[in-house]
Amino acid sequence: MAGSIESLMIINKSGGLIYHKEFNNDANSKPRLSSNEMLVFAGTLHGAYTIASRLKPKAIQLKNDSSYNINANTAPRVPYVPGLGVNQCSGTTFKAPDFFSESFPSWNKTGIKQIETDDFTMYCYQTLTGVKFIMVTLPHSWVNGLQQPISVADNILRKVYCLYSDYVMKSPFYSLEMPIKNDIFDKKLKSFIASLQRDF
Amino acid sequence: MAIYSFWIFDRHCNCIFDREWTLESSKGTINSKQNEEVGKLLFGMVYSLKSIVTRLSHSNTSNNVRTISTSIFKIHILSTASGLNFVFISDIGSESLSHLLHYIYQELYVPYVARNYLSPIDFTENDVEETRGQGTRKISNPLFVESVEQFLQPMVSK
Repeated sequence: MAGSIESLMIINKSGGLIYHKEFNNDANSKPRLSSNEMLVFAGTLHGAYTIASRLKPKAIQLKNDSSYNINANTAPRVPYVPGLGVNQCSGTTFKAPDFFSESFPSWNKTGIKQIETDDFTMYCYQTLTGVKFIMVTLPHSWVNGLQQPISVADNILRKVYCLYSDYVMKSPFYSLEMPIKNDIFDKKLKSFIASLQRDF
Repeated sequence: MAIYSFWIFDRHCNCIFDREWTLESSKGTINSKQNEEVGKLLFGMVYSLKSIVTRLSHSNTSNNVRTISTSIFKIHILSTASGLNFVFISDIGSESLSHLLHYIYQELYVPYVARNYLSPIDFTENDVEETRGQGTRKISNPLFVESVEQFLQPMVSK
């Protein structure tokens, strides 16, 4: 199943692309977009994400209008899916062997979670602070074949978020909202994605 | 499975048909004025996602968006070669509904609207409507409306 996760992006809270990595092992394949087009892509996705929250069908609006207020208690929860990759950084992190072991609230309550196209499927995980983690997979990858692909993708992306908070946010040289250029994060992310693809 | 609403957009970005089901007790809306803004937002989102998704694809052939999921609803899209977009908004549990959209296009839209001599070929009436997405003419053919209604009735949200 190697190679089923194609690329990973991090978009900051104002819609700027701060990280983009392709996991395609094939050295010959050219990147899909130039870096400039990638920025346009991130901005468009950010906009579409916001529009999606305005499209709530009337049938749902009429049923429960009060559920718009999100806090930690009312946010819908994503179940914990065990066995997705391994935390290989014991000793340098406060987190458990598998990063976390409980269900977690989903802050992405009204925005886009998944886009399916002919060529690929894209998953989006948003954190409480508004950072978006985007994962692009092949259309027939193992993630899409599972019972609840969106929950699995949320679990994977939350682990990427854990790596981000450990190696990017704790770096004294990183300035907020700026593009991430961090070798350790690159390395950890790569080994995390590799361990993920070995498991399945 | 539950379908909340059904939309048709023409190649000039105008919404030419919309149907929203609301509550059991009410019949919902057909071609309503209130839904105009929602229609524009919906088409705008679908259109911009389509354009970026096409550029992001590896192959040179066109890459179509099939579904867009959020945590409370799912959008299903069928684009035809003539530039029409058929869109469903359904609940998140639904599988891909593209076969239903395809059926509506093939078995209802083509015979009742496209092959109808009395129905306009293009729903825009002048240049302004064509270029600014402000078309007002909608599909009001009772036969089409009725058969869409009949076809989708079992799948509508209750």
